[in-house]
Amino acid sequence: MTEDVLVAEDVAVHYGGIKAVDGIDLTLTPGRICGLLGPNGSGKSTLLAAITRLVPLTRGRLVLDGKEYHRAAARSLAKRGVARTFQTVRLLPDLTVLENVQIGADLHGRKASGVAEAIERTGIGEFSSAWPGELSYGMARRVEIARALAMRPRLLLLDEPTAGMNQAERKEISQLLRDLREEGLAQLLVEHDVQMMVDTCDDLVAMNFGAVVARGTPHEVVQDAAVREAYLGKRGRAHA
Amino acid sequence: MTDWFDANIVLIQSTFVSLLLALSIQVPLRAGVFSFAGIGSYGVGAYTAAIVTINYEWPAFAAIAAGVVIAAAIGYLLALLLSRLGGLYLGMATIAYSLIFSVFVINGGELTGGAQGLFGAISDLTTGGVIGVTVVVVVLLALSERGRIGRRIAAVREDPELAMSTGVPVLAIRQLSFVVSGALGACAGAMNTLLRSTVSPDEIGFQLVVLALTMIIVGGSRSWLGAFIGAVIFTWLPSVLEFVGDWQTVVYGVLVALAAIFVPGGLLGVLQQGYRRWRRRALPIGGTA
Amino acid sequence: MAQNLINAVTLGSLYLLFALGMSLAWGTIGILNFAHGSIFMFSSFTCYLLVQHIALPMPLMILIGLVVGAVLSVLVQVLAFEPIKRRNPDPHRAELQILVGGIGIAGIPLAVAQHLTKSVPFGYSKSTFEVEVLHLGPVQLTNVQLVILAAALVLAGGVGWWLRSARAGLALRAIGVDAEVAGILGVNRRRLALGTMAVAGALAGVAGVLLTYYLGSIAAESGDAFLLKAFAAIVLGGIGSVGGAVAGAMILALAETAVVTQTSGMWVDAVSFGLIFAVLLLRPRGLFGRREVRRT
Repeated sequence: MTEDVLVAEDVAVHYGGIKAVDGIDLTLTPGRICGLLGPNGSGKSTLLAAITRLVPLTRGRLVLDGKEYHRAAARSLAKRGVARTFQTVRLLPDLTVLENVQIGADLHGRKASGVAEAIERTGIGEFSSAWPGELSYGMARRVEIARALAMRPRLLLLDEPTAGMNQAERKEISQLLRDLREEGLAQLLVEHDVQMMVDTCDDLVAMNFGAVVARGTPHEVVQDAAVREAYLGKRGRAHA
Repeated sequence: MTDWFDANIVLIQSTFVSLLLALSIQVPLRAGVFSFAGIGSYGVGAYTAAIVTINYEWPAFAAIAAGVVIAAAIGYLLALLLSRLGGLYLGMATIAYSLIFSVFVINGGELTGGAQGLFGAISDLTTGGVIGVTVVVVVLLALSERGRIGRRIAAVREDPELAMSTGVPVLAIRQLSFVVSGALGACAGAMNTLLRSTVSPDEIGFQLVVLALTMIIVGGSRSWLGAFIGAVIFTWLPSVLEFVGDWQTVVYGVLVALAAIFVPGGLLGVLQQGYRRWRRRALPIGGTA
Repeated sequence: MAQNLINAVTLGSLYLLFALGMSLAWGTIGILNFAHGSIFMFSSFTCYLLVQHIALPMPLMILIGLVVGAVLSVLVQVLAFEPIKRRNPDPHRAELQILVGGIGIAGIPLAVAQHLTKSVPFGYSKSTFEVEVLHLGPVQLTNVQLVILAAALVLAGGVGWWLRSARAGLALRAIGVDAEVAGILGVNRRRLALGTMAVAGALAGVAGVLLTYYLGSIAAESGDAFLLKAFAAIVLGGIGSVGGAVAGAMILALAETAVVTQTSGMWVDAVSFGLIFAVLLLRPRGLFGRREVRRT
């Protein structure tokens, strides 16, 4: 059995009186895609920020490859193989698309490779010389994914990567993630589109109010009563 | 050609000194650090060079090096002390540091020559030396604006959180910008002192802050080229404006105000925008990967 | 000792009038107006120009200074700062541009005044006003000082009350907390911004006239000197807080008076610069400022 890449134990993030995240356990394994589901404000992005050390923990442990890292600097995670995308598009406006992707590869030094491959896999080749301001939202999101891939990570954390994409694009990204999974990448996927989560993820964790309300296979979670009530009831159909 | 050179030697020297001063602010600004400590470093470099030249007769490059090392060390200290500040607050704190220094030298008694300053700092510094040092500095900075280093510094400026998540040493780069800023400012101040053989508190006060800021704003803060444009304009503008006569300073102020209002990226920004628009028309979106 | 105290409080009152407007503008609409010092000086200068032709009484001079200051401040806002904000959506960039724009603009009144006065200090000797000295026990108090203290009390108190109670004042505080939300809630941001700048300019104008009466004369460069001290007072007291401006101004004035009387006068400027640096180092929000001092 492959070793877990990342383990989060009883992670809590409190801001004064607000419990954005309150006691979450999470395990990320190579070759598996774990999905994080939940309505706005449920704490998904905060959890992601906590895992990537951009906000401090109020409580809990974070373990990467067997070593605790909840006191480590955020920037140390990149070298240890952790890459992420953000909920909002964060491309550097004064650099071309190509240069933005190169930022990911820059992690490994000046002669780093992997940029061309990342660009090809995310299908943004024809926009290499464009500026971020000229891109459609969906295309910009792909550049973000390319940048993360150019870091050659072992663990990929994606925060709503397909927001703003149409169904066809979404299917492409879903396929890309599954291909990466076959190559042994561990992934955490935060998304709103339930169908995509069901199609893409191996495990699903549903959150609300900072805590886990259900976990299991996508089909199990989607049918869970608490989840339906909190989230799916408003979203409509989900396939059994 | 050499006649013109000799006739305008002072202005030419000033241009290069001002360039280094402008760079001392532009470099941290490029990393998103609003530090104006380069101006204080100018004073540190100027007075250090004067003191070691007058009292110990050090050769020019040693005197300059002394100023540079001291100012760089202070720069590092400031980086540690002020790491929590950002934006305007950091700007103000560093301006305060610059102005405190000028008060100190006024009260420095014999060592700093008090309100009169120091004179008689005769040295073997040549214009060629000044130009040489500046060119080397510019080349190094220009290289740091390209490729991997250029991209990473841009990331620190635009989006520090993103930079961290891609493994960029944000804190180290910021601290380095303080140190480099100190070195550049001190180099400018030291060289100016040795060329003029004098230094006084008036030269390093608030007016210097104003000059440095306006060079960057009008020239452009994104690249060394902007600093160069600013240095050229503000060194040569007064002589160009001479025909305006008494109202020179008014025209000067109006120009700066107009630049700040209508030309946000500085003249460099205008040039870059023009270049981009030209490129877009010349090449299709696809281009080469 | 008591005499020094009175003088220090007078000085502090002048700092307060000058700094209050700046702190207000900075704390609510986010405008750090570097031309404030120039406006202060030029309001006084305008009164000087007028009084050369007509002998005017002090109350009228103060009023003129107030109006000129307000007008200049609004002009700067409309002609410079508003366009800058329009062209620079990124708040950091806009801040820097406004800062430098203010510096550039400040040079214009300065140059005009320098040119017309040939850099000789100017005063109101032709005004109808005469200085009278009151003796209260061990201390002396001039009528100028009384006016200054009264003006500071009334105006600062008025502004403070207005911010707390008047609807427009509350709206202004709302802008200071979250401009966008305030706009959505129906606050007319532009009108309030102009009003704020007008008030700030008016206060500076009053301060300029009063300072000229107090010192007998000021120079064209006095505006810049005051500017830096205002920073110190604002940073120390906390941005956007009336109480903070009062505290900062008074503490600064007391510290400076102490330094002047105890040591040679040359270290005075170091007080304000040193305060700025120390406060930003140790407690960036100042005594009464809000929590969020922007970090990178």
